[in-house]
Amino acid sequence: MLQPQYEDPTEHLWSLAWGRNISRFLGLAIELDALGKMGEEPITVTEASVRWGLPETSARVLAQSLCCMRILVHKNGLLTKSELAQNLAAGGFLLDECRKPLASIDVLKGELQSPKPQAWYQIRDDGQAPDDSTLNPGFYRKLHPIRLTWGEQLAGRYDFSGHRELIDIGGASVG
Amino acid sequence: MGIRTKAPHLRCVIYDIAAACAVADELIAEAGQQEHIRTVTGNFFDEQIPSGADVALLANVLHDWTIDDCRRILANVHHALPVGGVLLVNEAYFEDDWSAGSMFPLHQAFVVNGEQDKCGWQPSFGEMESLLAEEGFTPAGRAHNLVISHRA
Repeated sequence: MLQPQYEDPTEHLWSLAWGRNISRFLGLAIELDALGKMGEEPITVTEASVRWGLPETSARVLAQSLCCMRILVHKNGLLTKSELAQNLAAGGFLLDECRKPLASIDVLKGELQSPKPQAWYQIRDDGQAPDDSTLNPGFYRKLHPIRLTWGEQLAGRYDFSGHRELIDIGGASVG
Repeated sequence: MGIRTKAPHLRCVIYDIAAACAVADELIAEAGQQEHIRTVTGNFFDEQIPSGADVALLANVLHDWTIDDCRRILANVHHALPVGGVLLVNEAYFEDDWSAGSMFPLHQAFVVNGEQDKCGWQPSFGEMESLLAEEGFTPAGRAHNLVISHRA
């Protein structure tokens, strides 16, 4: 397997070529509920293999791929969920959201040839909340931890000290 | 709430559809932020956006809508802001040469793309600045994922 090289002008193409396989690692982790089965305490690869129902060699490969994705951290022979995973996987949100593109990765051609109307256009056309299972109170709540992070980041990029009142338009749904 | 962790002096109004505001009210109450953050229910297409704020934020909103829809939204924001007020438009921008991370086209295909009159667009920094200028905002800077402009 060719390894991505620093300053290799073709690196982005290799990443794309291998990306589908990388996405399969993520898909497998979701299918196995790998994060959920890890629990909160650090575990060895041996223990992970038991919990994930994989041979130890395979568990090692999956764990390494999740470390590359910054979902897991490997330290002193133990695996733990990364800070990213702990913060953004609240309520299963992160992996739930990853599941959608993984499921749709094989329908790209159809999506581009025959795009469907997006659900949120009900707001514009009917003045109503979208009739879409992903845009509901549970979705808004699950998004909250990520929005907090986004807000902190935004306040780090723009100095609000000269302002007194902010209006966040559409900020309760997705923004 | 995330912004207020670094700008605690800021009063905030969240303007959104009723279903989203209902959840926001719960989260604001759980965080004990009712004195600083309030919600206003509305639809940025049909109703006047509340005035009084000196900075407005459109975060991950405009990419969901057609250019014509964006113009309607920006006209309402323009009406709500005082002259010189700041509009921050946060998006996952392409660079002006349309380079970006390899995930961007997938986001385009699955999240933003849609039927002709019911699809969004993922802008570059320059495209957003041009749109803002056409709708009465003077671009004043870029930051990561952010275009800063002043209401003319």
